[in-house]
Order: sequence, then C-alpha cells, then structure tokens
Amino acid sequence: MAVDFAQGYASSWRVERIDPRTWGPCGRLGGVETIEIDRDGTDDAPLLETASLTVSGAAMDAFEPGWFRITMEAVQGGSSEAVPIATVWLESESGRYDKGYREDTLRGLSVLHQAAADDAVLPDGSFVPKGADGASWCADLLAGHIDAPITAQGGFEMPRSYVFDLGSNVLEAVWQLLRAYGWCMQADGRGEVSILPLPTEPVIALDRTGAATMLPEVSYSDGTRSYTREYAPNVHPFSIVRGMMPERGLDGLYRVRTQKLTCTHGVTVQEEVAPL
Amino acid sequence: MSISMDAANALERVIDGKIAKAAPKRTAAEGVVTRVDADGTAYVRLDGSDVDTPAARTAAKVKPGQRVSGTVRDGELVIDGNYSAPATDDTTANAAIASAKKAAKSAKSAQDAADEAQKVADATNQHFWHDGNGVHVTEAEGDATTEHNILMNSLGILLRKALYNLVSITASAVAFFDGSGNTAEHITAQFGGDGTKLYADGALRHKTDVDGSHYYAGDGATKVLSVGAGKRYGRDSALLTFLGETMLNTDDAGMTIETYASGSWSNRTTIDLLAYGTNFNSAVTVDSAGRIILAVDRLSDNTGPGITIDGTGLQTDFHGRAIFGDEARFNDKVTMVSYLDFSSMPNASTSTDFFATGIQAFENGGRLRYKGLADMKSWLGITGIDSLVKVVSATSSEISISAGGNHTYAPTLTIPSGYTLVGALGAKFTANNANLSSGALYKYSDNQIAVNVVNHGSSARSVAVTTYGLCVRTAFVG
Repeated sequence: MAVDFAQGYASSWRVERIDPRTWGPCGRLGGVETIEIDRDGTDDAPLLETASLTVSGAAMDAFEPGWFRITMEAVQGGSSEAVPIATVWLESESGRYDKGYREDTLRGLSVLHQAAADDAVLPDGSFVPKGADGASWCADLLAGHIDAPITAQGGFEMPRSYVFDLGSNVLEAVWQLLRAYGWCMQADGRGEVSILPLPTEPVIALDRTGAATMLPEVSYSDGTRSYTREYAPNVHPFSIVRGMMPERGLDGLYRVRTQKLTCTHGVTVQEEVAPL
Repeated sequence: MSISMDAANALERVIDGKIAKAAPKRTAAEGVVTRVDADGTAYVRLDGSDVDTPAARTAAKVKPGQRVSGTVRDGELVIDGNYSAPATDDTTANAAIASAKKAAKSAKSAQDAADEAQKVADATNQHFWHDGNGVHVTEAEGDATTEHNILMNSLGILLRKALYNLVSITASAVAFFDGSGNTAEHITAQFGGDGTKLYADGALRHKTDVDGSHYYAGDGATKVLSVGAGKRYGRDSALLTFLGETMLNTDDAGMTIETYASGSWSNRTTIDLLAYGTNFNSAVTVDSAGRIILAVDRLSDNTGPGITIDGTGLQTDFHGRAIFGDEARFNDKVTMVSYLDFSSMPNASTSTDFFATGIQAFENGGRLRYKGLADMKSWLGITGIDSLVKVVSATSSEISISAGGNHTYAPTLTIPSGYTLVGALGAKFTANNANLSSGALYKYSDNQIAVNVVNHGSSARSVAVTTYGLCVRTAFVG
C-alpha cells in the first residue's frame, strides 16, 4: 500500500551514487547531514534544479564528483515507499575542520547542466527547420549532451524555421524554442527529463483537507504567492496547483515557479506560484 | 563522467540554480548569402559558422555571394543590409524607376522591367582602378573580390562574379563560365580556333568545326551524331554520321549507307534516288567486298524493274542468283525449301508465260528438282500437248524430253487424235543412236527416216525409208 503523503509518515534518507551508463545506483554516500533542493522554472534558471548538501565525517575522504540520487524512504503504518526526490551532479564546494571534525558542503547541479557547458555552444545561425518536430528536435539535441534519459511527451510541428539567439548553448536554445511554442521541461526525482506542453490541469489541490499539511503563512509579491507545504509527489516547476483557500489568498489555478525542498523529517516544500 | 575545463568554467556561472549571463547576447551578425530559393528565402552563412541560416525577411535585395548584415531576434534572422549592393539614393532610385517604366514597354513582364531597372540603378556605383593584376571595374572601390567586376590586362579580359569568371576573352578562345568556378568543368561555351563548343555539367555536348556539327553523349567523348559536308567518291556530299559507325552519305548521285571499319568507311547500301548512268532509282545492298547482294533496280537485261538476290554477290546465274523481274508473278504463296514447290500455285496450268521463262531459269542451274516427266507434268498441270510445245530451251527450238538417259523408262510422246506432229522428227541422235528402243522412229539423215525394230547394241535392226526406197539395216548402220 502506497504512502499517503497527506498523512503523517516517518522518513529516512539515502544518497546513492548513480552509474551514468545505467542511470541506476552503484554506491552510497554516507555522512549526509542536510539536504536542500532548489527547483526553479523561471526564465533565467534553465538548469531547473540545484542542490546543497552537508556531509560530515570521513565520508568525504574518498569522495569523487559524480551523479547522485537523493531518495526518501517513507514509512507509514506497515507500508514503506522509496521516493526519489532529486538526481544531481555532486561536487565539493567547501569544507572545514573543527576540532578534528570534518564537515563539507556539496553543490548539486541538475542533469541539464551539461547542456550549458561552453563546449555546448551552438554555431551562430543554428536553427530548427520549418516542418520539423520541435519537441523531438529538442530531445535529440539534449540527448547528445547530457547523461540523463530524456523523453518528449508528444510533439509539435514547426510552423516556420526558428533561429536561435546568437551565442546560445544547447540548453538555452532548447528553452528558447520550448518557451516560444508553449512547452517546457521537467526533471523528476530520478533525474529523467521530460519535454512536454505546459501543463493545464492541476496535480494537487490546496484545500482545507490538505490545510493540515500547510503552514498558515502565505505571502504576496507582484502577484505571486509564497507558502510552505508538506511534500506531495509529481509537483514540479510548471505544474498547476489549484488553490481552494480564498481566506488565505489562494483561490484558483496557479503555476509553480520555484520550489525549495528541505529534507529533514519528511520534506518541507517552500513554493512560489503565479496565478494563470 | 568528468567535466571538462570549459564545462567547469561554465559552472562558475551557476549561482543559486541560475546561470549568470556571461555576456550580453548578440543580435547583429554578418555573413554571405549562399543561396536564394524560388520562394525568395535567402540563406546566409554567418561569419564563423558552418550553418546556412534561412532569413525570415530581407530588407535589401540579395543574391548568392553577396555580403550582408542581419539581426537575429525572436527566432528570426532578418537581413537588413547588403554590403555588396548597397541601397541607392533617391536620385538613382528615381532614375531606376524611370528606366523601369521605359523598360516595361519592351519587357515581357513587369518583373522583367523591375529587374532591369534594378540593374541600371546598381550600375551607377562603379569604380575604375588598376593594380598589379590589371585594370578593374568594380562596384566596391578597390575590391575586385565581390560582386560582378571586370579585369583587363594584356593577357585578356575577364568578366567575373567575385573571383569567378563569367566570360573570359583570351588569345586562344572566348569562354563562358557558369560563375561557380574557374576550372574547365565550369565552362559552358567556348569559341576558339578549333570550333565552337557547348558544355553541360562539365562535359562537351556539342561542337561545331570545319567538319560539321557534332553532338556528344553525356561522357563528353562519344560522338553520337555528326552532320557535315564532305567529299565522297569525288562528289560533294552531305554526311550524317551516327555514333561514328554508320554514315549516311547523300550526294547528287543518290545515297549510300556506309560503315566504319579498319580506319575507313565502306559502302554497304546504295540508294540512287536520282538517275545517273545506267541506274535508275535503284537501291542496292553490297557486301564487305562491295559486291551487290541485293538490288532493286532495272534488270541487267533492261527488261524493267526487278529484284535481284545473290548471296554470293558474283552476279552470275550459277551462283544462287534469283531474279524477280516483271515476269515473276508470285501471288500469295511461294514455298521454298530446297526446291520450288509449285503445287499450290494458283492457275498454274494456264500460267504459260511463267513456265516458258521459269524452266529456262532453273534448268541451267539444275535447281529444279523433279522425278520424271510424269511428275513434272503433274506439278505443272500440263494436260494438253499445246502446253508442252511451249516448253522450249533458251538456245534451241528443239523439244527435249529426257528420263535421265535410261531408255528403259523413256517417255512416250502421244499425239492426240486430230493433231499433227510437225517437225518433231528433226531430232538428231548421234553416238547413242544404238541405244534406241525397239520401235523408235528417228531421223537417220536428211533424206532418211528410220524405225528401230531390234534392241540396241550390235544386234540392232532398223527399217528406214530413204530416197532409195525402203531399207532394212543391221547393227552399226550409218
């Protein structure tokens, strides 16, 4: 029986090394103290996701940068469920010793970061030809630059040739095209990338039933709403949420802009949404 | 995996999940027009790129090879300037419009007029200068590497598109090029001392020289058809040559079809459509030795038009020669195997003229096969003496009836009642008179008629009527 994340559950965490060839686990990183994951679907955040971890002890002595998957083991009653939260490229950002005690901060980069490298810059004048399937074209281009699996959910025919901005890298080019035609990308907890039309149907409802999982504070800024809630699966930047608490200023459909996931006892999601 | 230094540098720009803008995005670019599609879409290869990018719009008229400026914005490349053909000022534009109006009167379409006007307008910006290569006429001052230009020096004159020749005038020839290269495969036409040549896809396809006009196959080397004038058999001829192997030669004496072998042309068929000499409107096929093996012409005996077939070409009656003159009357069926079968010849019994000449033709060559006179008569349908009398040889008026020399089967000449046998007894036998059968009537001499009464050999006996009376003779009479 699956875990109902709207109810209380116990959680534990594991960070596993991922073999880029199989995209499956091949080792484990110990000593993880804290995990924070930032997801961002705004225009100037093409990477979609970053992470920050603190690791203590001797685990970092033999650490090598690589792909890692952060997984929550949720236990509820007699059921348990392994929930992948994020798959990122981890590398050491800083470290310190305090009275013989080692603590390192690791920076996690999204599966898309390889497509933003300098060697992924496209020649000036690169374009998608008229008549091509824009989604497949993006998927194929990305697949040539990133390790993560990528899937196009559907497709769209280019009504005209689309020329990318001069000096664009692969990731920028893909975003230009997707945004121009109302499409987006999402990366799930396994680090698998999907190219899909901008969602139009809500994946969760922020209602009184779920209010117990909501912290009461809702802030406003330029039309956006910010609040904190408990974890719910399948909610990513670009997803639609339905606000059903007008008394808290959440009424109607909103699109997720950013998320900040803090992994402690369960997952706390600080979320920013914008009304449709 | 590992991250390259470049990738690592790129990661330095990642701040809080965002990528800092490394540098302001460029929008302006320059490049060269590589092609213009039929729908007007121009493709530009931007500097430093290997991509031919389609332009959504062009604010300036462009052609392939021209250097242009453009802007990339909102997913579109817009050409907004043409360095090779800058826009003209109002004066020249007005002149261009005037020229366009004037040209429109003679041009087939308004588009033609506009194009011509544009050329007039563009041509106002010209520069005349020289350097070590020669004298230049260019649109861009000091730049002979773009647009159309002219280069002149002591070696020749080149009309060029950028650095590619369009027309070259040199000491050896005037050559036209396709404008995309200066090597031989880019020549489209050439006028030189050895003739005029036209090329397609780099291959010679047509050449005109003193020998005539020649058409070549796609390989540029195989001469498919030649049309020319020349001398054949001492006469001026029109020559049509196919693949260098077959020639149609026509002159005032007629036409010959000839083949080429061992370095020379040999006559194979002669068609004399015009009368000359003793031939009139004849068609003759000859063998490799020039001997006539088939002729449709006037017969040699001048009896009229006919067909002569002679497999040997020796033209004698003893060498399989068949002549069909105006006396040959084959209607709808003649079956030839190793002999002639007249069994189905219609109206054979009354075709007396055919028998007269037909027997004459066959007997000398021994080609007429028959088993005996009875068969002969049966085949020929001879039923009356009147028909038989008409069977004569060509050189004698005598009737010759033979059974192959075997007297045992000598045929009998029957005179029907009421008929008179005249002159038949003039038949003369000499050495073989002793072989006559008993009862044979023969002429012994001019004044003797004899009847053989005993068989041949030394025991022969005969009764003769002579001017001396009735005689009875024994063997070895004479």
